[in-house]
Amino acid sequence: MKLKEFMKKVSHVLPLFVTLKHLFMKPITIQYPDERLKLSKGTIGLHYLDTNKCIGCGTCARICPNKAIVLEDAGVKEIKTARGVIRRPIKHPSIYIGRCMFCGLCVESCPTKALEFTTFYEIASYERKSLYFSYKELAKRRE
Amino acid sequence: MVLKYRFEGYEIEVKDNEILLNLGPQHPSTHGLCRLVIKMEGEKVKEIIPVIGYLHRGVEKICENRSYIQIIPITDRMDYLSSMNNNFAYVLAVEELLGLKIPERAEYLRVIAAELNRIASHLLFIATFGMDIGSFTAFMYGFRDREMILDLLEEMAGARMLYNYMRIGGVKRDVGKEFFERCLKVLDKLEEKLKDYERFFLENELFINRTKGIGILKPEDAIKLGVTGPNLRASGVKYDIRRVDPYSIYDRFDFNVITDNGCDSYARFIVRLKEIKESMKIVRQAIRDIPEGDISARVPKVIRPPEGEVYSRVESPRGELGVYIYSDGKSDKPYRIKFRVPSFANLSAFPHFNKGIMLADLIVSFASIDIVLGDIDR
Repeated sequence: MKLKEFMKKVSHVLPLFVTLKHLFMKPITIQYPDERLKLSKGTIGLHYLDTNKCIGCGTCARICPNKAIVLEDAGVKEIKTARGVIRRPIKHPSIYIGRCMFCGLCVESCPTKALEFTTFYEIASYERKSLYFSYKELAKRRE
Repeated sequence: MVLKYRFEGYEIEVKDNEILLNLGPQHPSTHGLCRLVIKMEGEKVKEIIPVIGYLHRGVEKICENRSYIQIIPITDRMDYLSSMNNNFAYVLAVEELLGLKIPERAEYLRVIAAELNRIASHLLFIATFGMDIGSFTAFMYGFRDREMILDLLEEMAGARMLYNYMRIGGVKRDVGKEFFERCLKVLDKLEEKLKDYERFFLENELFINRTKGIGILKPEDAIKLGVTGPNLRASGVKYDIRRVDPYSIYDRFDFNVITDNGCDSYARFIVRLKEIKESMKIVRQAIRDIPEGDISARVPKVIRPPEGEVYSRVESPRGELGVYIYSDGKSDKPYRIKFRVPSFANLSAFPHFNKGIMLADLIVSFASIDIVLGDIDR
């Protein structure tokens, strides 16, 4: 009985042992710009556009819930068909990343799988202008 | 002398010995942007008026201008701590409207995702509850352990908070065998950590004194006020939609509905702590039984449901989350969507069971009902 009363009196000290145990654990925080967390394989980052595969159909622009994708003129492209090589003007998607919510509907809906996600996530910027990624910038491979 | 204040459609009278205190909207313990106007007599709370709407984005109206598939990422942003459950409720409603049958594997993946999200949400509750009663250590522990679950969900859905994982007719992507192995490892690790939590909170006299008997919500009041979820179960009412009205494949799993007769903040905390274990049980069973196969049914690219209305509900970490959809049968956009969110009902009940308590206890009671303002304001 006495022991129980004593334990009740000191019970607010007991949780300290839990915290004490943590004192000897490895730190779980990291020093961000120097070290980086390892991301999972399927992490969604900035888009990558394969301009060779893109046929300019505009499905991505239509399905985007925030209308962040616009089609931009991309000059004339040579397309191989059954009748031989034809040249015709083509459009490619450009993304206003500031409006994008990374839902991934554009990547899923792409019929030729020209759009895909990279794991590049450091897109933050000081200027609004630099959040507009034209198709040329999207075609650069980023880690 | 009696002063009269008018705001937001309310009229409140303040006598000489009373003061009107404004708590929030920018206050660390209001979990977002909730404003509480409190009439006090000394330290005692006499009346509480919650003022909401600071995070209103008009989700229901936006949904009327989006096609059915475009709405899924928007439902993520309602209750941002349990996006998977929001997705689940919406997707179930549309599937009922279309009369779709979902492949087995997709059903299992959905349940795993939803339960993992429930664990993450409850861990965050433990963290913020600890923060509100003045225990910063608990805050750190909760966030640390939630990180493990978020890593799993990141592998599953590609995002850490706003997953957009479920699709009409299935899920977005499949996961490999390594994922399940990792998942089981994380659950084992978490079980160890939960023992720490129990030692940290439940044996702690300070914690018990701070939370026991604070904010007593009687079962009959809770039912009358429409409180659902862990808050209702902490009042001793055995009501869990996963059991009462099983959706998806929840009738196949063996788990207990946790109740507690305490009716106070302490009971609400314990119910959530124990629910983490039950969710872990469900995830383990789902990983054991998951079959191979497709992850999505055959769904047309443009979804145009027949005319009709549907109401489907799921047990989100905060309570009953219902989705009402009316389709006019002509367009690929819903005519009307209404979300019945649990946090709103829980916050509406809050002023009724907290009259006469101290101001410092009000924060504890407010933290214990675990509301998310993104959910309330939509």
